[in-house]
Amino acid sequence: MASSLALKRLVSSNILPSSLRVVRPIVTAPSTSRVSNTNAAHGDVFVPLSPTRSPSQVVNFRDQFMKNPFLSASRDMATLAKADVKESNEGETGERKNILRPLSPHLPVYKPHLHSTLSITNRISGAFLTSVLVFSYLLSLKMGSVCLTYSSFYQFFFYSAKLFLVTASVSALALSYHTYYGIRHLLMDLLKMGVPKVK
Amino acid sequence: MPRVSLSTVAPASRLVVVRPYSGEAEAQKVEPKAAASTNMKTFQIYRWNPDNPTKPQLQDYKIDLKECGPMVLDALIKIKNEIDPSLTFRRSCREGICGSCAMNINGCNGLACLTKIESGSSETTITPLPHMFVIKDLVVDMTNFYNQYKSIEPWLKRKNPPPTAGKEIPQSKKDRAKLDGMYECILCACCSTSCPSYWWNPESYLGPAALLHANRWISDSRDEYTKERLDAVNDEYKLYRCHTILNCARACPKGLNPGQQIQHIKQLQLTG
Repeated sequence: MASSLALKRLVSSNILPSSLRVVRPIVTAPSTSRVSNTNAAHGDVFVPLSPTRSPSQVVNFRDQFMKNPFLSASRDMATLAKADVKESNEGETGERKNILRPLSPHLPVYKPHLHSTLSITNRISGAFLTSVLVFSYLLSLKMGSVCLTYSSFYQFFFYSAKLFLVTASVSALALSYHTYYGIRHLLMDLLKMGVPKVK
Repeated sequence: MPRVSLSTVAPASRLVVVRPYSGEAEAQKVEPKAAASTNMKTFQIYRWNPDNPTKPQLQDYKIDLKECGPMVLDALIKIKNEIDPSLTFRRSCREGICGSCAMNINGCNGLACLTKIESGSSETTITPLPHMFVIKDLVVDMTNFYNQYKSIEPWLKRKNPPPTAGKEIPQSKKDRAKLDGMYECILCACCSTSCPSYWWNPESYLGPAALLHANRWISDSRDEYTKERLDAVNDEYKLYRCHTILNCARACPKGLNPGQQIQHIKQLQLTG
């Protein structure tokens, strides 16, 4: 997620106040209650200098925040845009309205397909295996010293010992899937096996 | 149409075509409309207005499929003509060659003029191309996409003049066949906007469409800047954000396979 790292660097510089978090409005169908998790994962950071935003848009956005330091961080982007409209309407008629455009829905809307599901399962299994590895390292190497100091910690591990078997079988599943997918990827890349026909 | 039974007609007139209009009154009678049986379908369409910016909404429209063409674009035009003229979308050729009407229909990217309306009473959801800034309703900002296409320099570059001066650069049929599957791209952006990798890195990752065109110029036998083109793309972000998710091949309305072309570029990078 290099873009979010770049954004965090930008935010920490003095262009925008660091507490600024802009929530992008996502389409919400009345019947579904799905919320886009990508914004949460991404960090709800405003993209100040993306090529789709003109410099005047950025400047106006910044100026507005400089003018109004009491603007709360959790303010909805829609209301912010409304404020833009109000200001420009009362001001000069020739001034361009600076509206913040929404991002079209992606994860909540897009239909999952076979290959995309296989790919994301590979990533999830890899992340799961890494976390199991780190946790088991912490557990096995640090348990002794921690347990001697905190007895409730020892009690917790005694009662959750049954989880170890379950975790082991799930991680065996994850490991085998990850390995098969990795071998398939290697074959596709090195042996010119070719990408499978999708349609 | 009331039919005259043959038994009441004189034998000679059986050879003559009898038009069963019995009089002007009956001729003027309008045929009962097929409105007795209508085929209503609901379309949920993404709406957002920059002049009145609130949260984007999904608005419902009901239309009769019996009075509408088979494609989603026909339905959109019917809605714009008869129900809501403020619905905004791009369209041009209506035959799947210009790429203007690219949008997300029922969760898959495609061209509205080539996507048939699904029969059945289920709702059809139409949203703009995913993870793009929305200008209005179904119209998105394609500036970044076009800039990425420009950045791979999609024109013939040569160091030497053509072998016979003033004439075209000859290319064998076999070499021309290498370009099949790449030259047909209409830059509709269905593939790039279906790629999750492109969603999370839209500015640094070039996307399947630009990379397909990069491969088109890399594979062109007449082009002499192959090595420079490969080096320009050989970047952790520009090329290697592709993890063969293969949503691009699934989405392409022209049946192309950008994932395969990207794989070809990666193999060329390996072999130098």
